Amino acid sequence: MRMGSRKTAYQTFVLLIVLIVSSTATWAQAAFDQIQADRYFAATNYRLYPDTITTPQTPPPAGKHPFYISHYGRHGSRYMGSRKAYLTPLEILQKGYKAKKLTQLGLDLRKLLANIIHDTHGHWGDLSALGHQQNRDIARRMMQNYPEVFEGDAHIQARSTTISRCMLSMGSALLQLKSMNPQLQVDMDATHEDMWYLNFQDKQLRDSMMTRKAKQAFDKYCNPRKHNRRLMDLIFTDTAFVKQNIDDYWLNYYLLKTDHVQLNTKSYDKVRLADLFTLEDLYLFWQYENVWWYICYGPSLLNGGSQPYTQRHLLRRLIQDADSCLTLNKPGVQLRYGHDTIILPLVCLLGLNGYDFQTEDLEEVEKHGWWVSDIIPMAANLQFVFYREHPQDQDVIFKILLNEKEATLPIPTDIAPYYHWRDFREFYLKKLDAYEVR
Amino acid sequence: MQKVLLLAAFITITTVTNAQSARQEIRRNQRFSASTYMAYPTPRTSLTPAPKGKHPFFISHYGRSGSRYHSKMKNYDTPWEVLSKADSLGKLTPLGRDVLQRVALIRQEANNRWHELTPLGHQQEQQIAQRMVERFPEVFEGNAEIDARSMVFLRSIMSMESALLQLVTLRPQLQISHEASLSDKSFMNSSDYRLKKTRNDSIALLQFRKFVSKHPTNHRFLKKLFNDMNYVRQHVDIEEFSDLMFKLATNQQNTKLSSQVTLFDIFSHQEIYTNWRKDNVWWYVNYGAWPQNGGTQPYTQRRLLRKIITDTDEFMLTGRHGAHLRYGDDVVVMPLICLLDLNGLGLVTNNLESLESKGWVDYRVLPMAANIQFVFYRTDPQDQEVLFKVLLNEKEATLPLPADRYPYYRWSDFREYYLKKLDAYGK
Repeated sequence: MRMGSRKTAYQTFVLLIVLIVSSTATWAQAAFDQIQADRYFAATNYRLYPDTITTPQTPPPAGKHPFYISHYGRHGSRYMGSRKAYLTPLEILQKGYKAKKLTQLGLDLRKLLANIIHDTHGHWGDLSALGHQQNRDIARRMMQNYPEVFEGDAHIQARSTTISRCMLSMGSALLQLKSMNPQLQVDMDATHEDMWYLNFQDKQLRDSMMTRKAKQAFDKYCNPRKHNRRLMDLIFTDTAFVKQNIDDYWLNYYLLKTDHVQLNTKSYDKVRLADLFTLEDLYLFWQYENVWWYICYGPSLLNGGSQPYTQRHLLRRLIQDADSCLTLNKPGVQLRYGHDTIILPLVCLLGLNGYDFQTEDLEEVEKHGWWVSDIIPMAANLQFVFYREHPQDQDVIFKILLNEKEATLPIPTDIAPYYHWRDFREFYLKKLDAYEVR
Repeated sequence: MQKVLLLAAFITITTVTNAQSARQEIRRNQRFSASTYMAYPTPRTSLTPAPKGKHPFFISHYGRSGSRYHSKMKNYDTPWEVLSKADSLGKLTPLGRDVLQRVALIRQEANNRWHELTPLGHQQEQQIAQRMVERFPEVFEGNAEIDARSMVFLRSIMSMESALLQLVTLRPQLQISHEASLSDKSFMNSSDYRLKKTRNDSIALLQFRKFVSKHPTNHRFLKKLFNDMNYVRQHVDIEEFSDLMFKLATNQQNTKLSSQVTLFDIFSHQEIYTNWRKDNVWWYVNYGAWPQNGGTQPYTQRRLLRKIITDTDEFMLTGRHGAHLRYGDDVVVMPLICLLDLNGLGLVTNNLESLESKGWVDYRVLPMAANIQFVFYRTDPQDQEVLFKVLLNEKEATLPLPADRYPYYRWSDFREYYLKKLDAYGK
């Protein structure tokens, strides 16, 4: 019964808007091209894990074999974190409904949002089925790409933050590995004892994300981009009413977020809002989301440029863990499961792929290729894959994969994309020391 | 004839166990006094073979999480602070100073791990899962369907994950789904406002306190730890300190230090027994069918029981084999056991003194990792007479149903009896 009425509502909805939305893209920027190719590139941290993209793996220098992998991964696709996030757009529409200012499309949209709220009840923050699958697939590829590391009774140490979607992501990855090699020795834990490095919240740095200067720059960048009059005209019958009563910025924002998360929860076939938005809408949304992430978790100079150092404990821990693992004959794998707000600053701290790019001019962020969607889609992950000839080999090398693609570091190397571990240690320990003795 | 003998033997064994009083059991093994903090005892009993011609095809399981640390920092900090302060003022005996060191070790191990599983907890879950596969291999054959759900609690989720890792180690082809979602709260961990309110109403509290004051522990252990009882009376919250020290002592069996550090030596047998009795009565008052607060507390789990029934019915129709694994909490398992009247634990009595003699003894029921498993049998998916048995902590248990095929019961009898029971409550 419910399903039937939902379907009808949806069909009407699609019919109405197909006529209205047209693509008039004339943007030249590359990020826009990305969105044109895949509109969900605009979803920033709600982007689906791009596991359809496969890149070739460079063979290691002769004689070197993979023997240890150190990983930090974000949980997979999930639902929005709170009921409020689902409720907000409906509440805004409700104002128009009460005042009888909704168009037919607005009325249909209201019903669709109510259905979404019903379907997602109690799932706030949950890992979705797709999220489980992403973690299984990443684990499977890890084992297929580096079978030597997972041979026989190889040791797998897995740690997760104490958030359920992270624990379940870890569980799914481990179930996949075990199903491929039941002999693996798995040591799994999720404890508050490990939160100091898995999910470190640096209160001082976090409180200073949005300095006055940063806020001014963000507002200046955001203001011309955040309004969506066209969308308001689709939903409401009265422009003056909208101007006085409707927060069009948040409505646009939450409708987009809702659409993006629907894809992650595979509810997309039932209810999708994508047709409400033009590619230009998506692009503008992506732009201000992108600089928001840049300011809050990236290396922005607007707030002092130190935000990436929130993850100094994690980086030091990764180095210490690797150092102790290198002394073992068969160290195996260390898997860690956490969050976007950890992995993004870590990537910037490492200066991976040039993501340590610093500027005060927010217009430069996009141009310089600092695109958050490439860094923290759902299930985003970093993998350090270590190689040596034999356990006594003094020249341990590694490569680093961002979302399973070979990435570059700002340190010299004669064996790219591989690096010498001793160079890495020296460079980053010095960097961390310099920050900590400030 | 053989069956009769088996049954007779079983009854004898059961009687012997029950005949041993809780006081004797605890005296023999102090760990029993831990009540629901008791570490899961590995089951030693063997199981009755499957009914002739039938095979197990489905297991429905609800278990509490495995061994864990205490849930609050305070459980560790308060005893340590009381002893440390007394020590700094020279108020501890040599034994008291030794105990302070032990408490410090215990506190250190649990630091930042409050309410989390201990390594033993993980191990219990793995072993329970392993025995499930070993005892009912048909259920886990090939690509059997495993649907696992957990409460959204760290320790429950980790219990589930540990069990699943063990299952997939033994049966790599299993099709496993696992969730931990508030959307399952209505049956995984349902709360009932009305029943919660009556649970500890004034009359119930009064009765409970009456029982406690009738059986005081006297706190003799304090004299062993402190050299100045005036100081203790003036500066120590005696009730709280005693309670927390006893809890530290009993939970110690679940930790990494269990074989190195004990606190049982500071308590007399009488203190240990009296403390346990208080806990046992507390569990009955809160989760048993105690008439004084309405006798309906077990009905907090009516939605879970209904869900078990409907899920089972649905699964049977699929023609598949597999298991539903549910990981939750002690405060769910206990009322569910009472609602099912498993092993007569639905006991209704006003007399709190009589719980032990009537076999209502919490450590036999609800240790860490306590679990209920319904194991279903049929000849084939068309079989109209589905049988099942129910295991409490992996031991065959009784239900108030026609028992002509004990330990097996007819699923149709179960459905009829319990759905009627639930419907009657609903009215």
